[in-house]
Amino acid sequence: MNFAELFSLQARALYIWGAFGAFALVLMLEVLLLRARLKRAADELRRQPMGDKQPAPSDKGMNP
Amino acid sequence: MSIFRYASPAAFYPLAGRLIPWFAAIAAVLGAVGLYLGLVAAPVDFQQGEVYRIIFIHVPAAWMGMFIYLLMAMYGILALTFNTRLSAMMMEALAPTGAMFTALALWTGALWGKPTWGTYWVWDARMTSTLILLFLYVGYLALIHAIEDKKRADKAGALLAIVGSVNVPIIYFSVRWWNTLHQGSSVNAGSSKMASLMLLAMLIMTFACWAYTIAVALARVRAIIVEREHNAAWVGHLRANATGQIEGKAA
Repeated sequence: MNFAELFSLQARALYIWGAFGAFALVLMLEVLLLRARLKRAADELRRQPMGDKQPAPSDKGMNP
Repeated sequence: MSIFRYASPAAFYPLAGRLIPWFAAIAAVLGAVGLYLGLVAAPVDFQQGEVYRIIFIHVPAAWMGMFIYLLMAMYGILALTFNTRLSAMMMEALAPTGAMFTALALWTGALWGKPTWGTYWVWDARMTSTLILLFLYVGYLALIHAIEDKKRADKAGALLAIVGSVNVPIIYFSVRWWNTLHQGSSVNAGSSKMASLMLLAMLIMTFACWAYTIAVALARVRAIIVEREHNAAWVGHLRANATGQIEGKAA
């Protein structure tokens, strides 16, 4: 099958492209939301005053 | 140097940042190859016609939904037994992607079911247990965000992930244990009922989804680490060096 045929699947096209379209859309949405979250985290950190720091609970990966 | 060093968020954070571009690139390349093989190169199915091509996203999404939940349960066991902070963070990072793949498996399955079975949905064992898996993901996310004390939230979430993992073998074996509308497994250990090119395309798409999941989960866990440990000295050093490092490595 070539790409031209792929885009003219008549009655079945809605099912196939509905599935592939939703798949692509949701993955892109997740990446965009994640980028926004990383930006928020970076902004939050930028706003925090430099003196407001405590040592990490543990750098050995265990909770105290 | 011990690998357990990376159980520390401070050590894992830069490692995750270095790994993200690699997994994102692998996901992009495998996704492009898998889509080409699945949509263009693979032959038409003699029974279902073109609509069978939904298999190249439906099956990887369904597998990812199950694998990610098992992975969360494994991290839950580590979080409860060794009290590792990073395990709970990884669970939180994986859950949205797992929920997304499970929802996509249900959506693509419905769109495949209508032209082949004549219905979008039936309450059969495979579909119902997959819907329960989606509810477990949503329940986990609601639970950890409803409890203010992060340690308590992590413990409750880990418990839910471990208990809920019993649903995964039920999903997998449902087509054998019960008489369902859903077809049986096309791929079993060491054998397959599919044509080799179809199988190859499906496996490549599955590996693409794996690479995507790793890249996204690593990016999300970096955000979670910064959100949770913003008062830690090492995060302060990060800020002093370059804040752009935090947002610049998104998948």
